[in-house]
Parts: sequence; structure tokens; C-alpha cells
Amino acid sequence: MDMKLRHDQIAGMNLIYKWHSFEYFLDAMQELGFESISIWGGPPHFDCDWKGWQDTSYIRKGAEHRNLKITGFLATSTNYRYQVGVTEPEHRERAFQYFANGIRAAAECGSPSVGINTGWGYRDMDREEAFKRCADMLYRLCDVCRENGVYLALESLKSLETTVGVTLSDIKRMADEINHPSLRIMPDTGAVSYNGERLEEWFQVFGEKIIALHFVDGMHQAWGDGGSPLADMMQTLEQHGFKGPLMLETSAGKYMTDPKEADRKAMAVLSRFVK
Amino acid sequence: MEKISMSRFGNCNEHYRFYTMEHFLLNQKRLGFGAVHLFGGTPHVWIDAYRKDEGADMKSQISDAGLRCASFMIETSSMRYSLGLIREADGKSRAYFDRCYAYAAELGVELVHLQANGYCLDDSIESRKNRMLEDLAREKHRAEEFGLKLSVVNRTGDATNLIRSLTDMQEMVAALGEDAPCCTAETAFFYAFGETLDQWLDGLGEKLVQINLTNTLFDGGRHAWGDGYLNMGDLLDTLEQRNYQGELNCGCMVRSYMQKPWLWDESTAEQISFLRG
Repeated sequence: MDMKLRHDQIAGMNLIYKWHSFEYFLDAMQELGFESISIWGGPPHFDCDWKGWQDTSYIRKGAEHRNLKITGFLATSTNYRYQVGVTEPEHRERAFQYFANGIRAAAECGSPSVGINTGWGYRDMDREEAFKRCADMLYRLCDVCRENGVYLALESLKSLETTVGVTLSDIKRMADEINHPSLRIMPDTGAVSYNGERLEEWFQVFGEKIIALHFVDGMHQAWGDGGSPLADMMQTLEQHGFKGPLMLETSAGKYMTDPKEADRKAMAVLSRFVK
Repeated sequence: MEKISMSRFGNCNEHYRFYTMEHFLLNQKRLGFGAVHLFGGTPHVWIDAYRKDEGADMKSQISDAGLRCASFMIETSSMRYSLGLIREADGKSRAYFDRCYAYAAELGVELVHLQANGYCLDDSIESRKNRMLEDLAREKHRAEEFGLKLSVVNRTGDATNLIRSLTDMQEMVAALGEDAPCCTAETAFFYAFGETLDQWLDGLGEKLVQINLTNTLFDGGRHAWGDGYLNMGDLLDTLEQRNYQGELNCGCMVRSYMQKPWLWDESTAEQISFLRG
């Protein structure tokens, strides 16, 4: 296996550190030898809502101080309050403002992209209507991205989480519908595997439109714990000359009391593929 | 010994996140549940630091469906707002909790539940516990200003939550005395500490105002009946022998349930019907 990643392509994420402080996360990244991070823009580490967003200087300065490059930012949305496909008109504008503020925060942090998913609609209502709502919201957010000099990186979800953007063909259809120069694609290897797809298929369809990966082992586990075909994935990345960030969006609950150990293990596994 | 009838059991909307509130209510009425224990998260309820839905509208919706709203659960699982953040300078969690209390008062319930989470792990355990006790005492009285009774529920999935076991609950009650909020028992988590329902009833007495009657696969989820290892018949026998008169909430929450939540409610209703007719 000849594939060699640049060390700074492997980006740690603070999602599994949410039971600890942001400072703890940054210190852990430095201790474990990470050179880049992708910010999970959720509470309690970062406060963003439809009215505004937290001053990002503590993120920028904290990363700079530890020689960590910020290569991604995720506008979190899978739990409560904000999601792209929201049905209720009175909540819809608040959701837009929230994501727009997340984009502005990402730009302040110097991230080249903002991760987002398609959102979802009620399962007892029409799926096509939900699809149109999601496409409309994402187009508007692409405009905000263009104004702020960042890309919107669209990822798929598991079928447990939505009916709108699950499969590769869903995301292709959504990308075609949006058709905006600020839209890029961010395959999530957890969702890709869960849905029975292969990373190679995503690269064949989207090619250079793929700007980043949420790079996890199986069901969002640390590398080494999920049984994913890592060597095959690395071969795919090599064949397509992928130079973007591999964001370790580990989120399984079992890691949250000791997230540093999970990242230590992941880094040890991935270091075999690092130059 | 009086048998507990189906109408005394309530259910929660938390696992209907991908369905409308109407869909949830129709299924509860169809299955014979008597009460709703409303989970205060989106999409069914919008509350944040700046605004809230009208609780009276939800009250009408539930009563129009022929159901009673028995309690309200404050959403803090996303950690955007939490008990542990209430004293932070931006005041957002403070504003959020006050809006939750106002909403619950409009809803017409007496009981409001919360979990004691949001206490970051890189702070010492002593410091976290001391802060939590102060926060719970203050919130108990704050809720009373809205005419509400505050109750803390044991949860194990979130390590920033400091009330996980009967021992935690008893220590909290002993430390706070008259300032202690009420207690709600989640049966799905008893296994983690080898606890029994009898121990909870003995250990907390009248402080125990609600039992969340949920099953477990020893995985941290709150499972439906028919999908776990606990014996509902044993638990109901205990409650009847002890003449338990508090609320009963069968609200389950497992991510995979959210695709077809009514199937799991049907399973629970079937068990109750089998055991109590």
C-alpha cells in the first residue's frame, strides 16, 4: 500500500470531547500530535443560535497557539431546534439564521468549508415537499457561503435520521437541484457504510467536488474499532488524488469519558498511512 | 389490592421526533394510554433563550385528543442549555429554564422534570456536586414561583449528569433537605447499579412522584416493553402491593425506534393489556 497522507490531512474533532472543556480538547490534540482540527460547532464548546454566535477568537487563538490548522467547521443540526428541512414556517427562518450564523463563524475561524446535512421532513408527510424545502434552504445557505468565502460541504445521513438525503443518488439529485458554485460534497464514511455504499462510488460520481470526508470506522467509531476496509478506502483516496481533510467525527458514546484515548488509538491506526 | 388500569399509564413523544404531534396523539388514544408526558424538544415544542411556543395551544391539542398532560420534561440532552450552565454569564440557560417553567405552567401540569447534566468532566467531582446541589435547590424554588413541582430523573447515558443512581438521589435529598426537588425513577437504568423498584420506593418515600416504566437491554437505552429483560409484571405487582399513586410514564427512547415509533408503543400497550386486561 503506497498511499501516504499528509499528516495535516487527519483532523481531530471536538464532538467526542463535549463532556470536557474546549481547552481540554485543544490540549489533547497537541499532545496526540495532530496538526489540524475540524470544529464541531455545537454546545457546550461553541454557542451559535438564530440571534448570533459566540466570539470565535478563543477558537482561532487556541488553535494557533498549539500550531493547529482549522480545516473544517460543522454547523451541528442532528439533535434539537435547528435542521435544514424544518416544516413549520415560523421555525424555518430561525433555522436559516442559525445556519447562516454558523457559516459566518466558520469563516471567522478560517475554515474553508462548513459541513451540513440535508435535514429531514416528517415521515407522516410528503417526502417530495421535504426534499424541495431542504434544497431551497441549502441554496440560500450556499449564497451565504459565497458572501463569506467558504464552501457548503453536504453530507448524507443514515436512513435512521432522514428520508431526504440518505443515499448517494439522493445527494446527487440534491446537488443537481441546488446547482450552486459554493456547494461541495463531504461523504461521511459512517453513513456511506451504513447505507451499503462504497467510498469509491462517491468519488466516481462527485470527483473533485468532494472537499472533505467525515472519516470514521463503521458506526462513528474510532479507527480500529469498526471493521471498515481502511486499506481499500486509502486506495480510493490515492486513486482520486484526494488532498482534503479526513475529519475524525467519532461520536460513539463509549468514547466520551476518555475521548483522548479514542483519538490516540485512531492516530496510531492511521499513522501507517501518513508520510 | 387495586389493579393499575391502562388509563393510568402515560407515554412520551420523544421517540416521535420524525412524526407530527398529531400522529403521536392519535396513536396514544388508539392504544389506550391515558396521559401524555410531554418532552419539551423540537419539533413538537420550541423553547429557547429568546422565545417559546404557547403552552396553552399544546394543552388544547392534547385535551382535544382526549388525553391528559401529566408532566413536562425540560430538554437538555443537546446541552445547548443545561442545569450546569445556568449560572454562566450569558444568562441563556437561565432564560431557557424560565421559559420552560412558563410553558409548563401554561400547559397546566404540576410536574416538571429535568436531568442534572451539563457539569464538565474536567472539573473536580466535589466541585461539580456542590454546584449541582446549589443549582437544584435554587431551581426547585424557581419552579415553585411558577406553581410547579420540580423533579429530578436518574439518567446514565450522559456522564455530565450527576444523578444516576438511587444513592445519588438519596444523597441529594439528604443534603438539601426541604430544598430538595422531587424524584423520578427511570427503571431502565436500575441495572447499572443493581437496584430494585422496592429500594427506590423504600429509599425515597413520598419524594418519589413519578416512575418512568422503561425496559432495558443493558445498553443505556430506554426500551419498550417486549424489547428488553425486565419483567413488567413484577414491577406492576410491586407498585400495586405498595399502593403507588404517582404518575407512570412508559416513554421509551432508542434511536432505531424513531422510524416507526408506534410499533414500540403497540408492544408496550400489548404487555400492559396482557398483564392487567
